[in-house]
Order: sequence, then C-alpha cells, then structure tokens
Amino acid sequence: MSGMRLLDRHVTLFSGSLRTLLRRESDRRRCADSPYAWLFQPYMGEELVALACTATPTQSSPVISVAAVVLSHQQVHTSRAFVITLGSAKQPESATLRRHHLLCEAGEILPPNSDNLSALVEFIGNRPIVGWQLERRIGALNALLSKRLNFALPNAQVDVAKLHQRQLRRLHPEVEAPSSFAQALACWQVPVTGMQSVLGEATASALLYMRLQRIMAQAA
Amino acid sequence: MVDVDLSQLPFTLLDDEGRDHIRRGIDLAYFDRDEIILETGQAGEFVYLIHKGEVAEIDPTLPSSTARIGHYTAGDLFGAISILNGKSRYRFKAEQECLCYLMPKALFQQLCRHYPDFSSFFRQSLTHKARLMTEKRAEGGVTMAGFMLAKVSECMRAPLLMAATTDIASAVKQLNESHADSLLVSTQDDTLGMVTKTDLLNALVLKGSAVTSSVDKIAHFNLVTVAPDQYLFEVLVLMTRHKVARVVVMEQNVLKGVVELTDVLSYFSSRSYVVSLQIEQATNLEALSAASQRTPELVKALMAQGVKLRFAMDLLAALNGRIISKAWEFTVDKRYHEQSCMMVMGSEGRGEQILKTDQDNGLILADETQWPDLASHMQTLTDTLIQLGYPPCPGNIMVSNPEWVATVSQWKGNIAKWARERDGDSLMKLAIMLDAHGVAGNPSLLESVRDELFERCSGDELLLSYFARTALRFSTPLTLFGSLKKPQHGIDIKKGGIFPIVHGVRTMALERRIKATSTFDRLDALVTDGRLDRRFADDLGEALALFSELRLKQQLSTLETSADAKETNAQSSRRANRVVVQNLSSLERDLLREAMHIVKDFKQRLSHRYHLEYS
Repeated sequence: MSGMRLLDRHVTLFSGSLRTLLRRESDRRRCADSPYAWLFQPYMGEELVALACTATPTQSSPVISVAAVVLSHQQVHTSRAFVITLGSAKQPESATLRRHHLLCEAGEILPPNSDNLSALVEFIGNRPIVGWQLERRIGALNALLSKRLNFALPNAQVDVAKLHQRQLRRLHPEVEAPSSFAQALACWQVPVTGMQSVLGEATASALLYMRLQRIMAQAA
Repeated sequence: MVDVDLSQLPFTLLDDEGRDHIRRGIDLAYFDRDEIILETGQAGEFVYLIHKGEVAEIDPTLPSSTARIGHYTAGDLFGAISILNGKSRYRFKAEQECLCYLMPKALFQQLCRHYPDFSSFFRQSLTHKARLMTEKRAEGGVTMAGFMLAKVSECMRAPLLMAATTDIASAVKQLNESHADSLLVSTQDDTLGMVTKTDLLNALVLKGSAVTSSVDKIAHFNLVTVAPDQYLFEVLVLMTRHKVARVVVMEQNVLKGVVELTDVLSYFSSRSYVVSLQIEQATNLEALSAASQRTPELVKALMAQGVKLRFAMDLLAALNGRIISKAWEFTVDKRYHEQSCMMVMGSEGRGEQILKTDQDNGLILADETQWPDLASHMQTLTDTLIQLGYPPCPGNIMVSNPEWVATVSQWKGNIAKWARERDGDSLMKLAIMLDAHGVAGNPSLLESVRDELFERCSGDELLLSYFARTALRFSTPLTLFGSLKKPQHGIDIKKGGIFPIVHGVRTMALERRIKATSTFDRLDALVTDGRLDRRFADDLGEALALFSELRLKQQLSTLETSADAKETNAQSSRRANRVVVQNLSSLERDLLREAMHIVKDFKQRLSHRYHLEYS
C-alpha cells in the first residue's frame, strides 16, 4: 500500500489537535468507571455518523439543534436519523428558541438535561463522526456535554471541509479560496435537498463524504 | 424527515399523512457507475426512487444488443413490482452514478394496505394509467378560460320577429320553417313579447284558443334583456335567476338577437358545436375556410377538457369529412355526383388526422362516365382544399394527379397489377388504397373497388407476408435515451410507435376482410373476429392513442411557434414526430416505456403470424 493511500485512509484520524487528544485522554480516564466508558473504546465497524449542529447563543444557555444520521458503505440511513433541539422553553429567551426551531426545522424541543444528552451520545456511540467544519460546529455541543456529562465527544472526527480542501488542492494546487458548504457540494456534484434544515445538512455532509471517499479511491 | 419531492404520481394517491410516513421512512443510497442495484431473481427489499442519475433495466437472458429493456431517470420509480412479485424479474444496473431514495419493503407494503389506490397503481395496466393521466390533465384545464370569456355576440341567434296581430296558425308555420322554437312579437307601440312553442301548445290544447286568434294574447311581455358585449356566463346566471330559457339581446334599444339556454350550454360543453354549425351553414368558400381555420382551436379545447383521443379523432374526422364534402359540392357540378366518388386516404382515411397535415385523396369514376373538363375541375378542387388549409401531399397523392383519378375497372386493374408485382411502391399503394374512405359522391363505387382488393389480396399468404414486413421496417426504441447521439433530438414516435401499430393492424384487417378504416375500429373488429384478445387490443389502442397524443402536443406547440418563426412545412412536421423524452413527466415516460413494449410485443406476434423471422 502506497504511503499516499495509507495517508488518505487515516488522515481523518489525525485531524484533531494535540489539545483535543489530551482532553480526550483525560476524559477517558475520568469516565473509566462510568456507564459511558464504552464510548471511548476504538470503533471496529464500518459505520459512521454524520453530524450537523446549529447553535444560537442566548444569555443563559445556547439553543442547540443536532442532527445525527448513520451512514454505512453505501447508504445514508435517514429513516433512523436522530434530530433534537436542546433548549428549555422556560428560559427568558423563548422567542429565540422558537425562531431557532423554525429556522432549523429540527425535531422535538427538549430541555438540555443529562438524560437527553446521554440519549444523543448513545446514539452516536463510538462511531467516527463526519461533518462540515466539525470542530467549529460542535463547539457549543461539546461545552454543554462537558458541563452535564463531564466529557466532550470522544469520537474520531472527519471534517469533510478539510477533505474537500485537500482533494481540491490535489486537483488544482493553485486554488486557495476557502469554499462554502454549498460551493463544495456543487463542486463535487452532490445533489442537495433541504439544506436549510439540520438533518438536510447532516445528510449533505454524509453524501459529500461518500463522494470524496469514492474519488480518493479512484485516484489511488 | 427527508425533503423529497412527492408531488408526482403515484405519491399523489396518498394523503399528507402517508407522504409524511414516506419522508420519515426512506433512506438514501449511492450507487456507483455499472453497479448492479437489483439482480435478476433477487428478492426485492426496497422501492427505489431515483434522485439523480440513470438506471437501466436489463433482461440478462437476451443477447446484449436487445437486453436493455427499460430506462429510468431522475424522478422515476422502480423495484415496486419486484416487491409485489417477491423477486425481481430483471436486472437493474446504474448507468451513471446514482443517488436513490430507498423505501423499505415493510413501509411500501404498509402503504399498499392503507391506500388501495396507491396499491392498484402498481398492478394496473397501461389503460388505467392512461386514464389517470387524462384525469390529471382535465384538472389543469387552462384552455377553459377561453370559454369563460365568450361574449353574447358569439352565441346569439338571429331574431324571428312577427307582428303581434299574426294568428297562431301562421306563427306555427313560421316556427317550423325556421327550425326555431320561439319567436318575438312586436306590438304597435314597439313593445316586444315572446311566444314559445310551449305557449302555443298550451293555448291550443289547454285554453282551447282558435288557430286564428292573434298571438299577442299568449305572448310574454316581461323579457330579460342583455347587451351583445356581456359575457356569456352572465347570461347563464341571469337565466338561472329568472328561471327562463331565453333572453333577448338588445343594443341601444335595437333588437339584435336571441340567446337560448341550449345554445349556451352547448357552447360551454364543447366548441365543436359552433364549428360544426359554421361548417353546415357555410354557403361559400370564405365561410367554409373560416370554419376550417378554427379546428386547431377546437382540438386544443378538447384536449384541455380531457376528451379521450379516440373520440376527438372521430369528431375531427367527421368535421374534416364535412369540410371536404362541402368543398366538393362547391366545385363539382351536381350531375357528376352520382358517377364519381371522392375518397380520402392515409391518416385522413383512417380518421386519425387531427390537425390538417396533408391531403391524400383520389377519385373513382363510374365506368363510361363522360366528364370533359375532368382535369381542370380536379385541379380546382385540389386548390380549393389547399385554400381551406390542407397542405398539398408531398407524394402527390391528390385528385389533381391523373394517376389517382380512374374508373372503377381501371382501379381494379391497378390493384391486380400491384398485387402481382409486390414491390415496395405497389405495396405502399395497396396500403394507401386499403385506408381509403369515401367522403363525397357515390360511395358504392369505392365499395366495389374495395371488394376487389379483398378478393385479390386476403387469401394470398405470400402477399400478406410481403405486406406485413413493412411494419418491422423501423426499429422501436426501447431504451428511451441510450441509443441516441444527442438526447435533445428525441425519439421518432411516428416510425417507432404509430407506424408499426397502424400497419400491423391494417395487414390483419386485410387478411380478415375488415372494411373499417380506422385503426381503433379495426382493432374492435379483430377482437370480434377472434384474431386478437380484448386485452391486447385495448392495450394496442391505448398505446396508439398515447403516441398520437404526444405527437399532437408537439404539433400544437409547433403550430404556435411556427406562427412567428418562418419554417418550412417539412421541417416542422419532422420535428413534430420527435418526442424529447427528457421533457416528459415521469408518468408520461412510464407510459411511453410501457407503450413501446406493447409495440415490440405486437411486432413479435406479427412476425410469428406472417413468417417474417427470416426476412
């Protein structure tokens, strides 16, 4: 196996910074005896979880919509998608919550307590997560998780934005312009539906990931 | 919930709840180029709805050139039949990279249980699907606006005015003479009254009035009046409100006419009434020409109302027949009418020409006819028809061509000669003669020629085989996109679809001595005869109707565009035969696909029956 191909396959796993690595390690030690310990186990299966996350900051705690959808080699299991909006209706900024919910067209509104959060992390499991500009998008979610469950998402992360940039650079070394998600989708001819909703965004990033994997496999 | 477009059939057969179920229950799948999505004999697990890409349906038992039997593209649905049958009959392969929505088997079956319409959609034959489409089109009804904007002046009758002192007897006489059922009476101080047939009957029978009494005793003087530029639907409202069946049209206190309820209703139900009326009333060429120009408008209206193409064809054939026969009456002297028969041939003879595409006609003379200026008369007739909007025939099959004017015995001789020679030209002429339909003059002349034709040809197996072979001349495109260099060129439905059906049915009709000339009537007769089973004949008829309809749509749209762009007739007619598959809706594509398969099936039957396998 050529070095390039090896790198293609594992590049995604090295994408985190040293800080996230260290944080993950300390999280793992802290949770070693909790029911969440299995989330820190390495994943051996074929599936990934595409994650999209939109947060609207408010004065108390931010309103967060999350969509997680499982993808395997060929399929995107949109029928089993996990979509929720975390935010409490009692907080003073309920108008913000309503506006956010309408904009993101995202699932049920649930209070951001540990039950709902653990349902989310258990859905994701220890599968690698895929998303567009993942680190930035899940920042708010990670902060909430650290607050409630004492750990941030420990999963391996694949940032399709980075994959896209990398692949683009490989084809056109002189191109430097950072592209938006919509531009990236158009660039690789991935058909999109309902990009404005969080689930639409998660599905689109899953499709883009599959597409890029395929292109990389062809190039190798 | 996935954002997927479910506004097409069959999903429109579900309600919102059902569609939500689908949105919640479907997955997305990505298939690589040349990947097999569903293998022959594999159990169907999903219904596939293509979001992007193209999929080929392949019958692996066939040689590779003919193996591709279907083609699906964005918006199309496949795999449902595999679920209903338990396993897939054919192989489905991605032609390009494909993105499909997958509806799981369980969800599909659940929907089928809850929505009988949805379920039967997948089990139905072409006939049913075509009906669904007609219903859908009727809902559109854009052209209906034209009817709603009709004015009173377009629908009124000339008034029948009499003095109030007239007696009942002469009023009845006048009514009978002018085929009316009401008349207006004016008194000396110029007030208007109306007398209807019912009034007269009541007066005579119930009141016992004498026939000599004057009509002003029984006339109604409180009349509803309208202006000529009012909308017709207003009149309808007025009639309903006042419970009357007739209104008087007045313009600045001057009597203009009468509008009757029956006229309004016929006007709204179909404009054919007016066109046919205009044709009947035409007393000169100009009036006839004006009526003749209006037929495309009538066709559009009929299509918008969702009239079945077969009936539209019948109506137009009748109207065209009347126009030609009128033209004949105007140009040919009455003394020749008994000794000659004008026949129309080709699509017009079969009654399948909806728009006037060309004139194919000929003349049969009785033996020993003396007609000195025959040639010049026939030239005038052809010119008249051109003036009426029938373009000249490119093959010069017209009465102005002496080759298509002959006496009965000459025709019989020709037929014998053609049947003997059996070359391409003769076979074509036989085919043309077979479709001949008498429109003017003495139809018994054509009958005797046709009898001769059956006598010579029906029993001749060899001739029939030669004759039938032409039906296989053009290949029927089964893959709707694959074989074309450029998809925007479209597929030729005249050659690929219409011609094989028409010619095949014509051959069978010749064999069974069926005198009907329209393909639909021939199919019916063949069923009665036992040569075809009812179901297959229906499917063939429906396929033909579908092809004709698609072609008609093209023709109508070319008719609109060619008004601005100067284009030669040949160009536009060639374009009218091409259907660009990408422009059709997915249901129409589905229908087209099925219809093409029926044609293929029919061709196989033909080659089996007439032994064309080795030709």
